[in-house]
Amino acid sequence: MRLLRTVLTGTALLVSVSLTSLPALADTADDPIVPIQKAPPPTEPPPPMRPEERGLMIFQQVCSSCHSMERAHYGDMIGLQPSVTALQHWAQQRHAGLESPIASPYPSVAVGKANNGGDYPPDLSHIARTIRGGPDYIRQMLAGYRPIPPGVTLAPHTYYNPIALTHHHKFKMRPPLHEGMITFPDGTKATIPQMASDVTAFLQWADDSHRSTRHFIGTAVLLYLALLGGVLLALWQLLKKEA
Amino acid sequence: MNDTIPPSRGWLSSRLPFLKPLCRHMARFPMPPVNLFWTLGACLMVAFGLMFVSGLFLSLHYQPDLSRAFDSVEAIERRVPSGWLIRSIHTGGVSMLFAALYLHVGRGLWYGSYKALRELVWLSGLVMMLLFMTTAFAGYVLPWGQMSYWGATVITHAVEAIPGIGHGLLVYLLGEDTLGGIALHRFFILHFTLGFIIATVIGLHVLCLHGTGSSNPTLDGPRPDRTTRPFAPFYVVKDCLAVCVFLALFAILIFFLPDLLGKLDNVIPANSLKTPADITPEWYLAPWFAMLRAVPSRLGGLIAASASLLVLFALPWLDRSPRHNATYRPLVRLGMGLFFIAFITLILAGMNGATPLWVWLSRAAMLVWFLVFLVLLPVSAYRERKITGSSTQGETP
Repeated sequence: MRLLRTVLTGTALLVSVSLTSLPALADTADDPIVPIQKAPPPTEPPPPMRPEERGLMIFQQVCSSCHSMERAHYGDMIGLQPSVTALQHWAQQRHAGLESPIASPYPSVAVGKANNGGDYPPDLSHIARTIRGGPDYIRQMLAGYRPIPPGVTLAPHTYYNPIALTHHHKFKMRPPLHEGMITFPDGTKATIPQMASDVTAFLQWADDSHRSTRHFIGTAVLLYLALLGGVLLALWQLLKKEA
Repeated sequence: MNDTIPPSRGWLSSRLPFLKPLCRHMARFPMPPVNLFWTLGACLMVAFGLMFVSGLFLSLHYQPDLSRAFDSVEAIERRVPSGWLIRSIHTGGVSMLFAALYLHVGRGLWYGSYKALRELVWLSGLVMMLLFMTTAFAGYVLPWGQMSYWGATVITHAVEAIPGIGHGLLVYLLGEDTLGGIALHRFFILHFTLGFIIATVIGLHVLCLHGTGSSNPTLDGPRPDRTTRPFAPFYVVKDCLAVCVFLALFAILIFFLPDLLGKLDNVIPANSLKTPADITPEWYLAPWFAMLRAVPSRLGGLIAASASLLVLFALPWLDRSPRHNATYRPLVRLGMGLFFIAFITLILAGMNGATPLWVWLSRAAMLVWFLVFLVLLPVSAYRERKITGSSTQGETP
């Protein structure tokens, strides 16, 4: 009975709202079940994602299979992935909890080195700040892999990346990004430059996650001080005249 | 009716009878026509207050333990609610505090505020400056990042240069052979305690100032102005205005330019096996680091750096001219100008690598430092006393 009433009210509401656009629904109002089922589901476009949110997806699926982010906990990603369940699932896959640091997948440094041609994948917690060249370097380097030109011979387990080679003598990171390797829920095409820029945004966020809040508070503080300063200046001028 | 309490007095002032005279003294405190440089003291009070309060909040979450110090700072940044804000106030505040402090001391030098009758103000201020430098150094060790560790290693090992007892003293101070967990804990205690000690010395400094009053920058000029105004409300409003500008600069620094002064290497945990490419101190300690580096012998560097500070303590007796304001003392004006340039040179030298250019520049700056205070000031004071025919010790008229 209650269900029926709810459905009826719902239908009436739907009808009243969409009377002009859906006149067919009004005709079948005496059968309460059918119009609900037939009502076309609202075709919401997928919510747009921030670059760092896409970057987190890339980090989860690609980067974190070699790199750690020890200073951050799994739960810290709540700023980019509001679903606790999804974060918990991710942490459990890696035998960790929400309050554990995002550790290296390798049991030891030696294993990490052995798997990467002798170089241990660095921790990514503050890489955007500490790496020479900063975020710009990371973005260009990730999209900077090229086929080996004729006449160049590389040592085993090294990869040809002209941008990385400006900083490093040997470069041992396998090309991490491939066209279309990730499907973003917001429909963004997973091209290599797109993913490189998204993951860079994520690494900047991981290094300094309060950036936007900081700018907001800073602006508010400055506005307040400007107002206060104006009042004090007026008062000072007044006192100057008086004396 | 209780006849011991006069009806005209309030509850508090009948129990603390000095309260009302004190308030009246503060409000009516006669201020000579001082310029904007005299507002730096108020800015310093506010800066210290912010450091003190933010420091207390940080100490609630910081763990002075070798294995947890770095992570607890990261936890403050990432997980403690508003922790990043409080920490940025604390880490940015130290630069604002030292900038105001050095300007405040520079103002004292330029306007001769160290001279007779104000010696205690000057000396208590210098003691406070040394305490601030020690506190800042101890505080910089606490996050236990690469630069914390290596900066502390370099500076603590300067102690080793003391002949005979050097190594023993170092081990005694650190509590073990190398810079480790015991030293970190001690640095935390030192940093925490010094905050309260400085608060006390600030009280003494203000007390000494209220004994003699602020110095008058117009007295040596062509038109001496002896009129005074009560501190409230004119100078209260003026100080508040200056504090407002100071806080705006503070906000710009911590909210918009946080990386301007921060050392990148300090987000990497301390590693005693990996020396960073260049160990540089924070800018406010850079002058003395440059001095340590400029003298080839370690002991010599230590002596030079300590002497550069000790010479400031002797200033009231080195410069006994009746004139105060360097604006009207041509030789002193030149000397103080050179000293300020030398100080900035030493800051830059300390922050740059030990290239021959910077080492020689810092040697020249050190020479200027000592020549100005030990030769130029006494000589010009002697001449000025002859000219004015006065044998006074530069007493405040």
